[in-house]
Amino acid sequence: MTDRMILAPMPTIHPWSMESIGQAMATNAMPASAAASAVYPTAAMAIYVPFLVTETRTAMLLWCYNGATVGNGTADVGIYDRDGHRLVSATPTTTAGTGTLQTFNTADLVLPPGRYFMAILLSNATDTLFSRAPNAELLRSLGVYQEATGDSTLPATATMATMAQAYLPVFGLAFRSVI
Amino acid sequence: MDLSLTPILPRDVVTITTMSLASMGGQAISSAPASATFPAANRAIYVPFRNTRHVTVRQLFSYNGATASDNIDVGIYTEDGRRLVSSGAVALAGTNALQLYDVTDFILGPGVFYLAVSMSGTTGTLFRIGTPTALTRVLGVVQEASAHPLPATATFAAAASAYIPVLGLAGVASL
Repeated sequence: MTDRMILAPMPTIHPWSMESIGQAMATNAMPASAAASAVYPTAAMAIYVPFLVTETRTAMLLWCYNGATVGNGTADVGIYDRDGHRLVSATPTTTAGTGTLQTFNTADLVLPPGRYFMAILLSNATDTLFSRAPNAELLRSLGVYQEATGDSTLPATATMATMAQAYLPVFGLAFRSVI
Repeated sequence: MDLSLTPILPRDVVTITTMSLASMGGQAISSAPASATFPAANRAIYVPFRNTRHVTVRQLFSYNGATASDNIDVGIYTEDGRRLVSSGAVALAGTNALQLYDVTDFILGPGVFYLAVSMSGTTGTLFRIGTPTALTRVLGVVQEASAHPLPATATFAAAASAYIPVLGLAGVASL
């Protein structure tokens, strides 16, 4: 085995990972450790956050960090390829559990090295997620997108639109069966 | 977002700790560690880190807190939970200071690993980051009950406490 010039993926990937936009969040004083419960900004709107996989891994779990209010609708989380094709998603599931992780045991998905998007969609704007509120233009600059789907299900093909929300939720995937 | 362009971990690593860019420090957490009692007797806590270079591991260490009590075991595990090295159970010694564990030198290759610690009781303290439990899980930290001394094979379970201990490995003989 030779030395590497890239970093192997950590067991979990989320927006604050180095594989995602975590370095920029740190630079902008937006650490995940200060995330707080906040209402999802718009019903039936998907948020897409880019991430990299540097060597092949298998995504076994998706998850989101629920806030103080849940149970008013559904959450859907998924993974898309760089061209916006949905690779896996949880299907809409009633949000449950406050102040804790809600996990979605999706079909195992092998991710070869490449660029992807993690996606999340809540069906309503009453439920909450732990999140930070970076400026929407900052999120745009980092390749975060949104989509008004008008549906509670993440679309098979994403139509990514300009990010206009100051809202970055804590959610992601795990390359383990435990989180 | 191109990791090949991000700052590369130093070639000649002196230490890798759970606070390093290679571990929790690379995940945009921001709070200072403080002394706190170990959360549960005989629990093991596994904190992931990644290594880009072949490093000769000469020492492991923990950052002990204000109370030295109980036994401690510190080790390194592979991504799939196999123990590579551990100190074995020894008495926690020294307060508000690093405790070094002189393990047999070995070469750690590139990849993802876990720094692990277990303690026999809940009186002794370590410096730790008290990130909320859910966020501790988000960061990839896992735990195991009845795991003192550290087992040959880890069985990972969801972290249940807000406790990310300051542990590390050293590529040098002394710190």
